[in-house]
Amino acid sequence: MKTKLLLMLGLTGIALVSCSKYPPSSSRLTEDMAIYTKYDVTTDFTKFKTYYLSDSIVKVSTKDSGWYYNSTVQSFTARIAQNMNNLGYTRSWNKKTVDLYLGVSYVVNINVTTYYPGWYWGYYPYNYWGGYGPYYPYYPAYVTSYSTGTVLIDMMDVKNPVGKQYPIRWNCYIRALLTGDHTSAQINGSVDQAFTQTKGFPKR
Amino acid sequence: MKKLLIFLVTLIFTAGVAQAQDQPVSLGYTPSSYYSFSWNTSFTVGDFNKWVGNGSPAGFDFGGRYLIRKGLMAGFNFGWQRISQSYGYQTFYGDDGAAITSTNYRFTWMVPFQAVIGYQLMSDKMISPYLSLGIGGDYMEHHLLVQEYDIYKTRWDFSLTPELGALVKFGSYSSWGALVAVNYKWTTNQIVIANNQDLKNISMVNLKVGIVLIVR
Repeated sequence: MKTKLLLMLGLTGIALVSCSKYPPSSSRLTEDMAIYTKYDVTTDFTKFKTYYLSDSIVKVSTKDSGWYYNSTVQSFTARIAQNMNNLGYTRSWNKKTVDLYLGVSYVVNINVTTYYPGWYWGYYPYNYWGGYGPYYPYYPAYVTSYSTGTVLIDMMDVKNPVGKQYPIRWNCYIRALLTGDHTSAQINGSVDQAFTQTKGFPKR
Repeated sequence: MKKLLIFLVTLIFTAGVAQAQDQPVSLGYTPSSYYSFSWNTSFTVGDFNKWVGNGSPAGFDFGGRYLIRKGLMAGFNFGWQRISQSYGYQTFYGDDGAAITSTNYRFTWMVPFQAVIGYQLMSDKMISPYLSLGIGGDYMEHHLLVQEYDIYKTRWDFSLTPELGALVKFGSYSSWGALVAVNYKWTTNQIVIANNQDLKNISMVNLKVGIVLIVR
């Protein structure tokens, strides 16, 4: 009888040990497209009037980092500009006089397992920040892995530098957006969502 | 779900009655105790269903019953259960200016433990239905997995579980048997995690099928 009871307890033990609390990683949906945004809650976004946004974006790659431009990028940056304009900001091509500078980049085949905020800045072209360095006045949104095609947008406050650094008032990560698998409607919808879900932006 | 429950309840009672008519009164024995190891499938009810709508077969239960006198029994149950579901794109807000729009995965992991009192009908027969009430608690973790982010709350609770089931011996004198049961579990647990959701009616219906070691 004692043997049978031990058998029952053993079965229970095996069942308990074999059943993990967390689901398998395949169930966690971490490869799906996702839109992360975070903003500096101490910032009054209505005080900004103008912004600079290049038509090209920075391609972050171990092979050929640098400026990148094609028709997808063109419509992508145009959508960002449309959202900024809808918030009441005016686009300007004069970097020296604008209030905000939008840095846009996307990641291609970078084999990195841990991504600290701003890690990709090292891949940016020389003098991208105009001799200044960016910094986050808050703990920014972050991810622990990037899929190919993940887009990163940093909104720098170039009107109020702190020493030799520009505060980043808003940052955005859109995972797996520019993979070539998404329609232009999906890309545009994701950009719109990034702006819509940011509660700190001025009312439209 | 309702049809399944009615079927199980009917099966449990009619099986016991039918078997009682077929077998001589002297055949069989009344166990002094028995131990069950059951596979547990849970279906969420009430507010719990708003959190996770799926039924889940990911659960086990270990129980012991001691027959005190004239069918009256007391015992214990403890177990493990996970209930989970994937959801489509939703937006979640933090209180620090953060927002995430993505697919998400929710699960509740629980460790129930209860003292049980009950009444075992026709305890000397091959099929012996029972009614019981479990009184105890749970340790629960409610997790919201939004990509890399694991937002969770842990909570202890008080729980009540009325149960209807049957012990089915594999033979008149066998020390092994099966257990089939259905129960409704009410808890004082709450889920307060994202987007100001405040879910208070956390209850579930469980179906149990298990193997039983019977002690004479």
